[in-house]
Amino acid sequence: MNSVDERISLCPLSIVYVVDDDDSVRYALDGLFRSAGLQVRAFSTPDEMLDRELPDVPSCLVLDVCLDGLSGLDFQAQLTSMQSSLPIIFISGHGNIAMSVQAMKAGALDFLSKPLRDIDLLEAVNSALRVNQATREKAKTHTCLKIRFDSLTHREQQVMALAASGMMNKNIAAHLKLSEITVKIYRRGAMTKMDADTFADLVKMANDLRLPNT
Amino acid sequence: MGTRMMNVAENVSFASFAFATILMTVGIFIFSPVTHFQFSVAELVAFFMIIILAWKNRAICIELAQWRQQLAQTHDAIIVRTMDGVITHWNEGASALYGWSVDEAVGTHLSGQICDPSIEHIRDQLLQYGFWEGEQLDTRRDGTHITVSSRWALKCNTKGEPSVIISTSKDITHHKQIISALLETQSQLAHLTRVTMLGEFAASIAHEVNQPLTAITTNAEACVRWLDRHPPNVKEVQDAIAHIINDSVRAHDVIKHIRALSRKSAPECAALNLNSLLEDALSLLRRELLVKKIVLTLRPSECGVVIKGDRIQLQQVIINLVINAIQAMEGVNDRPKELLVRARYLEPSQASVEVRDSGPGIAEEHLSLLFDSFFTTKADGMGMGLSVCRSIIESHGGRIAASNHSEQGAVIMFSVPAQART
Repeated sequence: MNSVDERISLCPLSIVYVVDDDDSVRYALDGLFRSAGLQVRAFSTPDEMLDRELPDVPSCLVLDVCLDGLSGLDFQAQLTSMQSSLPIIFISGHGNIAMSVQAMKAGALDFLSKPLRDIDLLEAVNSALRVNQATREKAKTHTCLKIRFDSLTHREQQVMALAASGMMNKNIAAHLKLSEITVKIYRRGAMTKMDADTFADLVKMANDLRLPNT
Repeated sequence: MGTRMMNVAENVSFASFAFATILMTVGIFIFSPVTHFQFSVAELVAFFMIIILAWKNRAICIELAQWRQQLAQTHDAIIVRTMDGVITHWNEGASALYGWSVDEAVGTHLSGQICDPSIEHIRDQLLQYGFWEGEQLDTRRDGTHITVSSRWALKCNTKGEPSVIISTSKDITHHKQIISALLETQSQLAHLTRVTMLGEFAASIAHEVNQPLTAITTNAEACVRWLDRHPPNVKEVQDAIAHIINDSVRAHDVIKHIRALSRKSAPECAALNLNSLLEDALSLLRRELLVKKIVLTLRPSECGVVIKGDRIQLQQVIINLVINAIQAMEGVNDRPKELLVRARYLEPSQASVEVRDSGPGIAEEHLSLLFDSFFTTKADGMGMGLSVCRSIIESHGGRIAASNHSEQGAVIMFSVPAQART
């Protein structure tokens, strides 16, 4: 129990969202997560959750598969279409294999059957929160990179992409119909603006930005 | 037998006497030494009238004898008793039914031994209305009980005072036994189909129990955590325990409901609130409807309606109709799956329950066969569900019918005697 609690010391602001239409189960889950030191927001319907402004902190969603109205799987699809990165842990009263396969294929992190064991649930939530935190950090880094990349001139972007793909300066010069000296100047400019200490860093950034090779 | 023979002999001798009288009269006229055929017209008329009357009398006597003979043949017990209970007439049927012969019964107070104490109640009604009809439990000479269907009538003397009570009774014990055996079989069949029906939505029922159990486990685990804290959070523990208690009651209620439905018990007759009966029956099916994405509209009757009957059997009918509707909508993908359950009070004393789905409806050729035993359109159906529904509704004095809605889907409606409660 304690080991789980210690591992949840990710971000003190992390929030667990609960969507379950059964009042008893919702209350119980709310109590369990709070007793484990987590912040909880519990809703009886997906719409209720979507109506709220969700804070920009690491979070995950504990979702009942079988909901009144929009089903849990429908809500998952809706969140995916909204490009949400919220990891989902499904809980189910009488979920079948087909349901769990569908949920996992659609990117659910876990699929737990009721009655739930606190260890299983808290471990799943812990890992979901860590996944979300990592995703969020990665997204943040990516956003910074994108901003820096956008500050490059068109030629610098071209040179960066070609150099990162492994082309020699003279080949880049020939490809872009420029002199080798000019290519070197663009390359130096890109290194500075992208804040890359080594050429290897620049290649990694290009990779993260998924720049085209040509 | 003795009475009949005596009566016949009596009538025959009376007719012979009349005939002999006529012959004697004719003889006197013919052989009288005084008159020697010196008849006046008046004497001749009188003479012929006596002959005609004598013949008529004889014919009536014969007819009466035949009637009495035929009446004595009846299997019904016919008993005539005075107002203070002394038997004055006891036919063959009565002897056969109760075991006492005519000689043993007539002139005694046997009726007190035969009838159950309700005779006082019958007498009261007789004195008030002059007539009583009903079933009663009588005792035979050997002490065995028989159920008879009786008609009692009061006969008054010329002064208008009640003088004798005439009763005819028919033994319906065997008939009653057959009916009770039939009801027993129907009840067993209802139980069998009810248990089969429960099996059809066992997953949903399990879910109804699983939900509160999940809540109980999770609340208890939270309690352990709240108590592990330094200092322990007693307020949270108290709240969680209060919820545990409520959830236990909820799980218990579901189990109680299922046990009641699966129990094999003789039908009871109780006053039931139709609206709460519907809610109870549908409570078990909510999850099933949810999983199948069916939108349920429950329209209770506007006024309170009380029906008399067996709660379990009537719930069985409602659950069965709703399950059929759910199954009928299984293949529906191009339109909303809608289920309407509506209760209404129909003046002057009927209640109707209507279950309408948005499925494909019932094929015209199947409409008349729907409630027949072993008729089914389902691959794994027994064809007993609706047939049992009909026997339940009919045993409640009601009717059940199926039709197709003009817009979409099938409608099954049943009606039973009811009272509005204001």
